[in-house]
Amino acid sequence: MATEYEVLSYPPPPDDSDLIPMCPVLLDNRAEIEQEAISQSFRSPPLSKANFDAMHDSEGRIVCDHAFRRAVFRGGIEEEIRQEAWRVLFGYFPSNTTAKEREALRTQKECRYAALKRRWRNVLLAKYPDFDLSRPDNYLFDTGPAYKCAPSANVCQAATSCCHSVASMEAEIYANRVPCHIESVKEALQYISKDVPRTDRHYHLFKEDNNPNLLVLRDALVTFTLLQPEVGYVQGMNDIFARFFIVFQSESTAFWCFVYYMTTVQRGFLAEGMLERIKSLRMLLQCLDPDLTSYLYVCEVSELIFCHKWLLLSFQREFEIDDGIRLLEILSSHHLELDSFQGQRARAQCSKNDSTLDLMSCEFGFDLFFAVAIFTLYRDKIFLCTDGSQVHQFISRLSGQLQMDQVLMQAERLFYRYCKKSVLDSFVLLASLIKSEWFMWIDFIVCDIGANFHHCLLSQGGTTHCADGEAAYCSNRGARWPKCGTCPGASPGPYESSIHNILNGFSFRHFSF
Amino acid sequence: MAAGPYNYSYIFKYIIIGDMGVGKSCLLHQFTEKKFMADCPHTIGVEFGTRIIEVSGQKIKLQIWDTAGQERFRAVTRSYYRGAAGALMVYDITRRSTYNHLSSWLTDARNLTNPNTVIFLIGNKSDLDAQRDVTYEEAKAFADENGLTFLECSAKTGENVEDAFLETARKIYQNIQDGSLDLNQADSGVQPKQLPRTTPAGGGDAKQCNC
Repeated sequence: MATEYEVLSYPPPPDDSDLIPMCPVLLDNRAEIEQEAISQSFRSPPLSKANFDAMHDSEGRIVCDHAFRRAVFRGGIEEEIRQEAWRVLFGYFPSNTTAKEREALRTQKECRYAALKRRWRNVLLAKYPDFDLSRPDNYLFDTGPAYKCAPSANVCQAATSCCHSVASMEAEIYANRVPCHIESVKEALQYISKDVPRTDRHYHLFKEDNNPNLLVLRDALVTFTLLQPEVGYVQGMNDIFARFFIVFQSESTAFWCFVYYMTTVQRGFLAEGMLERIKSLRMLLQCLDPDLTSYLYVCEVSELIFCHKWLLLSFQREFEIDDGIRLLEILSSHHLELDSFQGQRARAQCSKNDSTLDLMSCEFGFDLFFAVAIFTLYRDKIFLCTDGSQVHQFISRLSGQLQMDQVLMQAERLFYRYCKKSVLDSFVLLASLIKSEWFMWIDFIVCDIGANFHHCLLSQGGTTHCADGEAAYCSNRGARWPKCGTCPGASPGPYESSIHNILNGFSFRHFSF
Repeated sequence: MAAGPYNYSYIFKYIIIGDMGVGKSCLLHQFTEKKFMADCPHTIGVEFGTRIIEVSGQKIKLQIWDTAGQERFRAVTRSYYRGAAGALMVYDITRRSTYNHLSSWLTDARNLTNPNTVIFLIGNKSDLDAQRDVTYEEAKAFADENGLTFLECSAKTGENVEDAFLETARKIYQNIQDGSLDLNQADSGVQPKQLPRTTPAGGGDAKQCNC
């Protein structure tokens, strides 16, 4: 089990100890909150057929999407129902559709995929009739295809079986509206045909030459570039699509689920997005384990560029394929994100009805917590590395060694810890604000917004007498929470909430932290 | 994880750059493991390999960073160029486009490394001579024009792979000997033998995660 860390780290406390009792409730309950966070972190068996069936109503809708996602998060999904569950998880069917509606959707999607695929193949063959589509490694030179074939071979290839006639007409119209330029198809083919023959070739579905599944990978990835031209094909998508294909073994279902997944992560596949993601990881690691961050800085690897692979591929290369697939569904449950229902609840619980400044960045997806969890689980070993290359080597050798459930539990603990820490930090920040020269600004802001301030108090359930608190606040200059002079027995709740609202609303506008 | 006894005099940092699918990872693998890795998965970000070699009787540890080739990843891989003593710039002799992109790779390498970085041009896949798309003479002329050393190699058969890595090291070593490479410069890409750190800086009292 991981090293258990006990002490929380804060920014240096304000030197005036007078300020510390500002948030006594939180400080006294620190251990308790910690315990609570840890007790929330656990793993369950994968979602079973019986449990999954029980989540549906008589017409086949999923009654509670949240419960479904929670179950997936806790233990993943049993193999037997994975296809069905993934169709919901990856947006093939909205969870509130009935079985009947799903049939219609399925027909529509199958026809649309077939039509989209025909679309680029026709554009390609119109320009290069002797392009051999049956070779997954074929691509185009400026002068023509790398491998030529007799045109007749392609005719058979292009004839795709189609479904319902009305649906196929609709799909044809749909596909023809999607722009398709020969230059883009050419470029996509060039990249994709290089990567397809080296995608998980050790896995039984992709083994051996002339494996038709390689054509599936190629076709689906090229078709994807039609739908998302601004993202295009990026190396790594092949690994991810392969996961979807392994689960469904149906080209069109895998395709649509992949498209859905890509819309959730596509920013990370753009050049600037890649750097942003790595930056977010740096920030989160700095926040949760500053000492390790300092050490990585000494080793000149604090940029964490070597984590790029983790984030881009959702750790797929760190685990065997089966575990990787389970991790993909767990991360895609989005059960525990800072902006998810569960995340909001965790934050609310940590704040215990006290007002806070919310400094949390919702860019910190659960996958970033998973990444930080790997660091913290192996921090002792990392501290033994004497330079950056050793750190790099150590991290890359973790591939295949990680215990997924252990990392998940650690990630969850870190998630709750982060929720709590950001709440506590808010108080410390508020304290230092009031104490520091910014006080002048707060003073100014408070005066500046006198009318709003009053309004806030009212809206928070305070009564007019609390308006006197305004004066008390100014005269006390932050030595302690301002008390409402005329109402000694009044609960500080509304007042604190008002401060929160004011600072939230105004301080960020006046200066940035 | 401890570094063990340092039985070499220098560490040279190398980077391998070039278009996707030219065989960068396979070259590295052939050099470090003396094996050809068929269907080797493409690199995301950077991979890393080391080998200790001998130049003029001196043991030298090569620290080789193998980068992802797709244009989209350049923003990420660029940070590895800094402080490289050697850069192996690879193209595929059977694909002209990979050769045509060399000037852009060269610009990156020149801009992001120090002026003494030894840049070595490798035309990979020399075993596929029948599918050749770039002649030896043409590439040689390009290399001469730009002051690069050039070899055609095959990561598959191992032909010339050893030579490319060793020749680069010889050049770097020569630069050290004649004083043109200043080892005190932070980004020289060469580290003289150093004693293992007794206490990792910042790590002494940092055994507890403060989150």
